[in-house]
Amino acid sequence: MSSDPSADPPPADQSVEAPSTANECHTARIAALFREHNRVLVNFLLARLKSEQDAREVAQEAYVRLLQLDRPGAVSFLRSYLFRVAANLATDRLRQRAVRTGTESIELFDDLSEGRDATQLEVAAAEELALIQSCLRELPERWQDAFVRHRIHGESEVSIARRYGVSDRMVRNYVVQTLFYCRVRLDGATPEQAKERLRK
Amino acid sequence: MMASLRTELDDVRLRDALEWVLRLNAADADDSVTDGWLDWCQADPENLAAFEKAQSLWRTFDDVRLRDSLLAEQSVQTAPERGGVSLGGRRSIARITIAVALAASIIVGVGVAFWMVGGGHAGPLHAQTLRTPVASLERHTLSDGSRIDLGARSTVRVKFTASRRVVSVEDGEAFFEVAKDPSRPFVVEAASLQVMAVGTAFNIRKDEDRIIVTVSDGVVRVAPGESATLPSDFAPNQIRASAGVQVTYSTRQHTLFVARTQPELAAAWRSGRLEFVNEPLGSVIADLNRYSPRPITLDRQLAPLTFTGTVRSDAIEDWLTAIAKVFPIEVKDSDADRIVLSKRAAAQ
Repeated sequence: MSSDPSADPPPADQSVEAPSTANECHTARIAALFREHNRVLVNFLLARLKSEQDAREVAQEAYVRLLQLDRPGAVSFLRSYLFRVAANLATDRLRQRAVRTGTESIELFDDLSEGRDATQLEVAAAEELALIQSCLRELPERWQDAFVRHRIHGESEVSIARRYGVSDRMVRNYVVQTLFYCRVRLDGATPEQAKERLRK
Repeated sequence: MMASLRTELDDVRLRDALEWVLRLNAADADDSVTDGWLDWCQADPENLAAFEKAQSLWRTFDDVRLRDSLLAEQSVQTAPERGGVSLGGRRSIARITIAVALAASIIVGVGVAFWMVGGGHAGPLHAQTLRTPVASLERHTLSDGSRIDLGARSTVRVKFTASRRVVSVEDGEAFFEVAKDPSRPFVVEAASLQVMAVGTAFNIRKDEDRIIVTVSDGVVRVAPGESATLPSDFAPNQIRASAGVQVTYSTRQHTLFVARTQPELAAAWRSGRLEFVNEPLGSVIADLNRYSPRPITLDRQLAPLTFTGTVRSDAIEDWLTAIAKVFPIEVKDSDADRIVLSKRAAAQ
């Protein structure tokens, strides 16, 4: 499969329909896709983009690209097509982050503006940050170090693995366990309870 | 006591969700990762909610306050590499200069490091002061991998936050090899001059009157301005200086002067050679004083004379004897505490 989605539209349906009907049908499909996948898509984009605002904008742009398809295909293809378009748009957005263009509002996407406010997300409670920091201190030093290297310094798992002479899988495990512990502690578990659950 | 089955299942789901966050966030994530993740999301309606929780925790670590705290904590654990670099390769056979040479070869690093861990909203800060005594050089590797070669009797302050790497040159000379990190600009401040670099090597020398920036690799942006100014707000009169360019800033007249030089001369001092091109004698002596155990004082009248040439930092007194023949200068080194350069009574 080509990595550039615009050069590789999904295969057309075999059914033959009048163009206008096909278009209406396509729009309906996109709407369904949107309803079903938007939350997933925004989450997917959040992994690539730093802000929720960006994620929502790119998601919207991806749907617009889908609506503009000449030869709409089956929904199963549309889904992976949607995610590939979105991934490429996210890459573009990261490249030209400085140059931001406004996206026009489309009726279909009106509820995109709902949900959590972008600024609201940025401001985690100071107590939460303090708790996370003390959580990290409750963990083995190597876990802390691997986690900070990976998450804060952006060092790859492979590089950290080489540093310690352990497998990549083990480094992934340190990072997952560290996050797991923080999550469980943030949800109210005591250090003892959280450590107990780590062992499972 | 056994945890409930419900909790165990949730824990498994949370671990899976965290794994997916890591996979999706990895630089090499491709379509197969996306497809696998989508299938997982569809397999159980609760999976996406778990993923959102996992990702929200992951994203908390983008918070500048948390990043700063963690960076500060880590830098306390792993103090930067510190070590002296001895001056000059060859030992001078000089007689009077033996004291200088000795002092130069002894590594007397007094890098003073401290970390301020502030509280409240400003967030902790990684701060460090690096200082060298007279006639001693030091090399430091900073927490981001950038390197600073510190000249004799020099002081720099390192302030790293999650968004900026700031080093201020308080006194003396430093050569920087900057590690690339586009998300955290590397800004060197000297008095009211700012130099911004991304993956570059350059030298800064500061004395009372002037700041000299010499670029040996890459490009830097030089701008006069207040230290509070952000790099993106650089003044319109900023200068882009590439390798081989030397920018001299007069701290009195607030003027920038640009000249071309050989890039390799930028930090020749690191191997014990002090290079000067058309430099006022006052400034030359100020520089030499960072290497001379006996301070050299210069008659003010002589300060504007210009000098071009090389001075071995371990043979300064030989050089003084030599220039006395070229310049109308008289060297009085009878004093044990200092060397006095005065105007020769009868200029030739």
